[in-house]
Amino acid sequence: MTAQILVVDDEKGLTDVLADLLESEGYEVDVCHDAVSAREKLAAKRFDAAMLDVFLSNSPAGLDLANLIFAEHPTTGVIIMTGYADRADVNLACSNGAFTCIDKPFNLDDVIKALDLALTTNADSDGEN
Amino acid sequence: MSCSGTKRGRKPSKAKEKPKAEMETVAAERLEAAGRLAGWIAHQINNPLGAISGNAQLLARRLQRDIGDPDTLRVYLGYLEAIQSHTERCARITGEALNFTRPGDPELRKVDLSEAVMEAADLVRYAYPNSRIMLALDNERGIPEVKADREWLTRVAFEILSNAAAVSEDRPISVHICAGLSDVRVRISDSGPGIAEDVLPRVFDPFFSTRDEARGMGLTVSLEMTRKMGGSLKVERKKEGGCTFTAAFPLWGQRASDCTDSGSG
Repeated sequence: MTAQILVVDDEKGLTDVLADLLESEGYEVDVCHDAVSAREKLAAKRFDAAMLDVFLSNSPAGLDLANLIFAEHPTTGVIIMTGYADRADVNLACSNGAFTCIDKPFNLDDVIKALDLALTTNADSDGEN
Repeated sequence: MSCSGTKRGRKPSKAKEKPKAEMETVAAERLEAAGRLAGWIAHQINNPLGAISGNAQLLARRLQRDIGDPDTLRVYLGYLEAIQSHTERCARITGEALNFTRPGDPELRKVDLSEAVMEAADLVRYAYPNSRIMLALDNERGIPEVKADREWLTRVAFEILSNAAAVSEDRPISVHICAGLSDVRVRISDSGPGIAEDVLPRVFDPFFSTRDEARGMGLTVSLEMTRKMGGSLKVERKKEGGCTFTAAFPLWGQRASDCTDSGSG
């Protein structure tokens, strides 16, 4: 079954790139540019992985979204993206369950590797449960 | 040997200490403001850089799939590699601005200060082959370890020594390290042209430098790092020309006697 990926970033230029990349790799991609629409998507659909920008409209709403996913959607793998963020916040998100943090600008091969890892790890833990 | 300016009876008056403390506070506040600005710029720049770089990489993938002629492909990919290389350069610049303005928090451990200073001196000698750094330790009673971040110590010493080397040419730079009751002090004196009296209060300001080629962040970050490690950093003009930076770092443990008791200054 095609993996469902949620991409949340307020930079449309970046979500276009990620949607193009991930769709060409065979994933099904939903894009949101703000936290409110991302919460609606998460409530309406199950995602295998979510790629979340830390800062959405100049607030660290991406980290709040990560915490929401950890609590309510534990089977969704989380990858944090940042142009710049307080490393302590990012480290906390990773210790809470995010797979990794990708710094912008990023290498597309690294994005695919991180996503594959998140999906594989989540699939393994689903199998264990 | 002892550190001058710390001998009994020569302690600066409160009236003189206050402006210095205020000066350090102002420098710290300015650095914090510069850090916030650098963070905002990094966020604003790295997002569009990500889009530029991502599109260049996507196009490279498409070309590799769709262009059959290897010579044509090589030329096209060359253009894209140039875009990629320049975006990476911009990202490095924003990263450096962040590193310079937001050093983070120190990992305080038991550290040999003289080792860190010697390592910094070697780095400066490599960058300034004509520099003459003369290191002297208070060997009679040894130099006890300080409570500090080893990398930060080296960075602070490097910044001060490289500033000294930049203005001293082949004139000697003296480095004295000695221990007090509660700290270890390193005094770095250069033989450069010195700092004008009206410029002295600004030497720790962000982006301030009297040298065109300098970024003016080295001493600002050195002061911030030293303070975060619980130490102090001050600068004085020498009557005979040049200037002296004195950095003090807290001892790891307690010490029985003070090097200033027996020193000649």
